[in-house]
Amino acid sequence: MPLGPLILSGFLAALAAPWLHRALPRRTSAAVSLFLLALFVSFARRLPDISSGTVSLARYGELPRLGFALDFRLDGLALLFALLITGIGTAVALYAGSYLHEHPGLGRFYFFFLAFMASMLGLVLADNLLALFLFWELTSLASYALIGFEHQRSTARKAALQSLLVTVAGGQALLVGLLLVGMMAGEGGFSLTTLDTRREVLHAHPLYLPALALVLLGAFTKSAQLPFHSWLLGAMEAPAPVSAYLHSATLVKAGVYLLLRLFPALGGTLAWEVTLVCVGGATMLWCGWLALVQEDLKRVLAQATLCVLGTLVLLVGLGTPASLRAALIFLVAHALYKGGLFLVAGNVDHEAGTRRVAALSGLGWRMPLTTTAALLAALAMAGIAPALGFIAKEGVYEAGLEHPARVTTALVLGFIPTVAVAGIAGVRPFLGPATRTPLEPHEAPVSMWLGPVALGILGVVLGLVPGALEPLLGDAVATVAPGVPRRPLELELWHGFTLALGLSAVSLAGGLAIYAAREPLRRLYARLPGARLPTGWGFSAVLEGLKKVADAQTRVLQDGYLRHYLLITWSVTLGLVGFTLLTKARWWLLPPGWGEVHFVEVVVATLVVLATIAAARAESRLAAVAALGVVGLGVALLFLFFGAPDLALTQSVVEALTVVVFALVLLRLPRYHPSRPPRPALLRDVLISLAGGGLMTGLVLLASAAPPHPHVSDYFVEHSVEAAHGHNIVNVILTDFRALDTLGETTVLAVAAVGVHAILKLRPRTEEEEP
Amino acid sequence: MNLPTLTSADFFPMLPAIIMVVGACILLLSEVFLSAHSSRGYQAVLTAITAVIAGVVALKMVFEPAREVFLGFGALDPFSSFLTFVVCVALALATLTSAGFLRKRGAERGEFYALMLFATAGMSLLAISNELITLFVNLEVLSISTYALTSFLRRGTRPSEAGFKYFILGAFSSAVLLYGAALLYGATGTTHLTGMVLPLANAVRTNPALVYTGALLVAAGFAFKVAAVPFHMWTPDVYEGAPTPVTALMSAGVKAAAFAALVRVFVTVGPGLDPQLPLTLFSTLALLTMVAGNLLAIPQRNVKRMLAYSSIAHAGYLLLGVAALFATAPGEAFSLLGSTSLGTTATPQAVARAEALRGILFYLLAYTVTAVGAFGVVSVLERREDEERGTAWDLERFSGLAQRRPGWAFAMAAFMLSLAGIPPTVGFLGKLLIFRSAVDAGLIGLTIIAVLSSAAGVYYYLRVVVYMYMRPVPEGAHALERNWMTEFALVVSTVAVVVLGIAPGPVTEWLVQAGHLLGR
Repeated sequence: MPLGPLILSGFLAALAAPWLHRALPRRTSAAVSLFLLALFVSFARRLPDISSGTVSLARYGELPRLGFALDFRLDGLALLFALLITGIGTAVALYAGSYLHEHPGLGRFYFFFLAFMASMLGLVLADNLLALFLFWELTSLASYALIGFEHQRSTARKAALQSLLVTVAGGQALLVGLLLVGMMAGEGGFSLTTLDTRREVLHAHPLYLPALALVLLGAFTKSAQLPFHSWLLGAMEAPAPVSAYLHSATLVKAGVYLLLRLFPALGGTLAWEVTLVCVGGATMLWCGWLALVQEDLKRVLAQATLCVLGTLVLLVGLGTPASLRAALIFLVAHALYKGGLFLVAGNVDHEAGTRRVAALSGLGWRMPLTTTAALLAALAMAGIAPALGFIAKEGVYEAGLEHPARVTTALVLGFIPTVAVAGIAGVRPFLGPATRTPLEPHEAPVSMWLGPVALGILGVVLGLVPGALEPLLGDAVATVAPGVPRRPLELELWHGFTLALGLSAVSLAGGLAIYAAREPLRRLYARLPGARLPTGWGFSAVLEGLKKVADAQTRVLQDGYLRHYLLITWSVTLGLVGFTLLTKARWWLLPPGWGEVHFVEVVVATLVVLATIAAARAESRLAAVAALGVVGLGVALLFLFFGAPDLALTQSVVEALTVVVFALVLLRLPRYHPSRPPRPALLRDVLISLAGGGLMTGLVLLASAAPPHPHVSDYFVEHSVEAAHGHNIVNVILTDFRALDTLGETTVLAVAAVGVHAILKLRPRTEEEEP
Repeated sequence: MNLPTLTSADFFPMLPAIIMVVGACILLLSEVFLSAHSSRGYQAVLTAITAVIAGVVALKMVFEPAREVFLGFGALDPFSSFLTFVVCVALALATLTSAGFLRKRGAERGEFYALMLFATAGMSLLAISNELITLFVNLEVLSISTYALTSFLRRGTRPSEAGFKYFILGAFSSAVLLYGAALLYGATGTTHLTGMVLPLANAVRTNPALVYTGALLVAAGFAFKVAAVPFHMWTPDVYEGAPTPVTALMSAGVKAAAFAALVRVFVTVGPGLDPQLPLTLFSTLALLTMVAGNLLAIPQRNVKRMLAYSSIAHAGYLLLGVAALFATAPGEAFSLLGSTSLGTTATPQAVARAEALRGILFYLLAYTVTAVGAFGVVSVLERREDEERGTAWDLERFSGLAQRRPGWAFAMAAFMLSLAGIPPTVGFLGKLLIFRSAVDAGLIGLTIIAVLSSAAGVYYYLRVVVYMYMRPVPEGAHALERNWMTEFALVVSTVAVVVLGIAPGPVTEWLVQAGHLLGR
């Protein structure tokens, strides 16, 4: 089947699953599992093609004008991820049907589970940056719905929201990062295939650093690197199959996938190496060691997952062929054992009723098959031969040994707690004396042990016959490091007595020592300041801080008082325009004699100013209106002095009418109680008023400095009879020359009339009916 | 002398507005023959049909060649035609949600719909105005209609307060805009935008302060209309107090029209100005608006008010697109929608500008279908009794909506995702276009800030989704009345939000065309 229909079939299955579940509640999980198995087989059959160097490309739903194309490409890296997604999905789907047996939301679960699976496939198969982003966001949404699956619990809701906020916020950064990358790469730069060939252009581009930072932000949030790691711990609120699938094997690897995918185009620079090694290393060490102090079985595993994600990021950062190879092997090994361990944890929770590490012991004989799965996974996790985990770890150490000793030291220090965690989560609950648990533990049904056991056996079989992985991993490595000549990966259990083997022995011994000393260590940790901080405190603190800033801003900007709104609007306008005026004005251009005044003008101006002050200080509304009337008449007088009698007439008529209307309205208003604002506020208001007046004066002066235009009135005098056959020039202007404006003004008035009518005369009918 | 003549071709671009005004007059006249208790169901239908016809006509006009009409007073170009289409969409959807809303309050009247039509006609004419006085008149037609609509439901203090604040601040901003226009006229001796370019280039040299202050005042007036920070203060109060369908029309239509006028004025006049002025101005406004708008929305539990703040934030993203129009140093010529209408000789600036124009238009369309839909959901959930107490729009109202009305909840979830810009919704595509054009125009820093602030926005949008899907139904929740017209509008919006987000189809064709603005 071509790639598009494969992905589409995932989404269609998601839509169909809830219906199927309603019709055949007992058969759905098997059906979903078989569907995923079919997908797995369909991908697996392409392996020979890929190995022979064929890359399948497919294009669907191209939007050429938007630069967006739903391009898919199946190469070695994509195939590796596709097999992980469908393979582990098969086990998890089978498991989920029993784990969530009789849960009312099981139909919903299948929908989001399959939608996530299809989005994840789309993400790893996408050959277009924007298509990749589309699926990237879809996986975030599906993950949100699955973490909040048991949304009756407020902790689940909170965790779901946190994961969504962190990943979507990172996604937004990623979007711009990808846009920048696409733009920098030039024509066709949104295609990943093209992008790989533009390495030099991208590296030399001045925007390389910002683009890289944004892309890395997206990858780090998704893969839960420090300081964004806490959402993954919260995500343990999800049901066990979700944790196994999304939060260990697939979703959180998406960030690592993106780094691997973009490595040929963006990687290999100093910035890339330093950032990834530092962030990955910090995550590995910090989260790895803190795994020891977690008390919840799933959280222990989540912390260990964080540690592995850090290691993977570090390895991609190192960027040598050996480290990329090691990263891929480690990724596969981790997906197998951690997926298995999460399912085991689900079994324990399901059958024993608790996930508290301290309360679990001696489950071994009562849950023999689950225990087998746990021990096999623990073997791989601790990196003990013959599990695949051993080969992976050797590869990691060998990659580290190519670099300065501090890298190797960090890797060993990061692996030591992982060994201890393997003991805590994979061995300890099953051995030793039996303890009382809330439920009487017994073996889980077949659908729930089959998956973990299969994953565990696979981990060992692949360790014994690592050659089976050779073609797949070889193809993936060839994708990530295209320039490197392809050579056998030499996956073998026994390499002879190498330095890496020595390091393995050191980390194993260290891990066992830490495992033995875990209780004292935990007590020591409890005494540290900050040990009691709840998970995700950083996120909560940021959110709270943001809310505080937002609250403060709302109080300042949005207090609901019209006068304050006016004050701010006025001040900004004044500041903006006043500043321009002061910096740009050329006062020397003012026409000569601009400052001359006549006696009459002074008198009228004084009158107007006095009337204005009176209006502002008036104790009654009527007095204020009367004073305003004086201002208006004064302006009319000024018009008269400057030879505009028609304007003066209009002004005085409008003024008179306004005063009358005002007075009529005032009659209907309640009594006015003048209140004097406090002195500072008064001073501020006066200053702003003065500034406003000053600004207006300046503007008028400036306008008079403009070069005089030919008098418009001359044109009208000349043409009014000839063109419009009218002798009253004002009328001709209104009804002929500027008739359109007049029409517009009339329209405004008409609309205003309809509006006023609507507000004043129309009462809601219910109001009329009420007495 | 030569007398100018007008032909029917001059009236052609006004056709959508004429259709809407005729519809309004029919509604006003028919109201005369009705008693207080007559059935008025036809009014919303008639208005919606009028809007649809006008919208279709506008779409046909998108493919008309750009030209000046009405002696240069108007400009018929694909940009304005597409914009008219957008406001017609806003009107049609808002009208459909009005019927049930008004009937519940016993306030269904022809005048309401007539005012909605007048307002939209004003928006359409504003988009084609190519002369400052015409522009001002149309701005007033639209503003006065919306002032009246805001306080249409007089009952209670909130509508009155909203109407009063809107009127006072709106009058102030209109005066500022008019003053700026007068200064520009003083500097150039003309009010025709196209005729202003040459005299402006002269005036910038001789009397720069006059030109700059005039341009600033005009920009400040527009900033008020599009609700840009710090001229945004009226928005939450007015949006909250106005009848919800009116809020929908204001948030989508008024904003779209004001953006159209702002873009036309500054793009046309731009060559006469110092190019740095609009760039600095709109970049600053965009920065403030995006950051403050998103921050203001975060503490809101009142969904209607949250949507008001969100509309401020979205104005910020649009301003980012506007700033991209004036980028002086665009990045490499990487064409987003193809350069069909530009030819092969287009400069990088021209390409970047066409992309920004398309981005703005698509974003306006995206925001329109999303926001009107979201306000539609708000309007069906609110009850008059709770309005005075301010609890009508509390987040609590959305608790467990997915169980009570899965369809509404799904629609609201789609709108919220679209507003947050998460794929596969139309809001994502809109953001993608705007951000891409901004990146292309070289506004990298501003785009990064836009992204960070929109990431903060995810929080308050998705909180609504959490309430709908993850909270139980509160005890004593009131019954939810259904209304086929509102639900029809919700279906249309939801389909548009999802389908346009996956396959914009013909819209991209219109959009490619619409990146063409006369006088560029």
